[in-house]
Amino acid sequence: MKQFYSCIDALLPAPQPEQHEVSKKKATKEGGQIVFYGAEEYRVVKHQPFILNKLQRTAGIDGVVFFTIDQFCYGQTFNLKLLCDILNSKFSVHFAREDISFSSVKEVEEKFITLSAYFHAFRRSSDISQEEILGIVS
Amino acid sequence: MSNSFSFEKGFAVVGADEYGYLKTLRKEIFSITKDVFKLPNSEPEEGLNNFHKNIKGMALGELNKLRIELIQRITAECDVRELVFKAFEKRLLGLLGPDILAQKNCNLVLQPPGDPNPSELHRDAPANSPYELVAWVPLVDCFGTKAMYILDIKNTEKAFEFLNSNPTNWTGFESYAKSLAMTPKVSFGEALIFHTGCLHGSDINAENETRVSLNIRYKNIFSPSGLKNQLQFFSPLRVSEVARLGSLLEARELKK
Repeated sequence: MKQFYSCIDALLPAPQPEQHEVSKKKATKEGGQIVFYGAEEYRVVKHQPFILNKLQRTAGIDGVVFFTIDQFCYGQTFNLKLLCDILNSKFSVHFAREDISFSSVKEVEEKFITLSAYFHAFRRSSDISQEEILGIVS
Repeated sequence: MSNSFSFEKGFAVVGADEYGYLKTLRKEIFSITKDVFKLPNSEPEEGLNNFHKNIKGMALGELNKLRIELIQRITAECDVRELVFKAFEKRLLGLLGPDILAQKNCNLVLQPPGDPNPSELHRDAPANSPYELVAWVPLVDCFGTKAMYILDIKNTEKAFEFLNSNPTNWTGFESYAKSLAMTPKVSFGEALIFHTGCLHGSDINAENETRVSLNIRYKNIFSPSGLKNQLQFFSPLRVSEVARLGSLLEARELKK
């Protein structure tokens, strides 16, 4: 059975147990189980400096299950470099909420158009939310 | 394709460009329905129209269990999104452009005569994207209360003006909206394609045949998404060469 690391979204208001439940389901679908879990410190979610090191330092891990692809959208650009670095380090990458999996950089490149479109839609709605908040407080 | 096609109202009943795809789809869906519900009929049209006769007396729990099994099997075994798209490809490409996302799972609705749970009056956007289209595809001829009702964009706005002035009067809103609605006849081989901003719903089926219909959503990859997570609900169906090349270049830059 494959061993997965679960990396939940530190910014999401959804309670952690809910995120774990969905990630566990994805791990099962991919023929494995969650054996460790963690999350990025919320001050650095834009760059996600924790996860790759953590995967490399944890023995016996086959891949990582992120709760959502939003975790790669908190910076100014989609964090494609990290996604490819994880894959190049021979870990599979899974997104639980979206039910999407990648096992190679080639696969990411083939599907990048939808990730890019999603990133821009995500940024657009974040910008609108910020404008709304600023509109309310001003 | 008729030259008189207009989408100004926010909806249109259109004939399939390729009828054969719908015939294949209906045959596949009927075969699974026959298997799940142990139907005796051999012809799709007759079997689906008379579906209700074979579930008479079935407990609601059992019916729901089989309905879920049917939807799961259709999702797993039939390429609904591709077949429906191919059937109406010219219209959909004309309305949405060449880069298309399709809903991952399509919805199947079985509405036997007298079923007390029709689809309530609603519109999809918001929360769905206002840049999205719904293809409502009947697998049997639908007319009268066996069909669905819809309000065009203008009348949808009128209905919402009523609701804005009477925010607690849902019953009044519903009857006012229904007075503005149309119930187009949609035969097998046609689809009602409508904008997600149009109010729509269905009444209790008072005809003596079961309504069996599919509904599936399409949008352009690059159009703004609604509140729903685009990657969760949609996956790509068509990608133009320009978009493919653009995404490869963007990916190369971001990997640096």
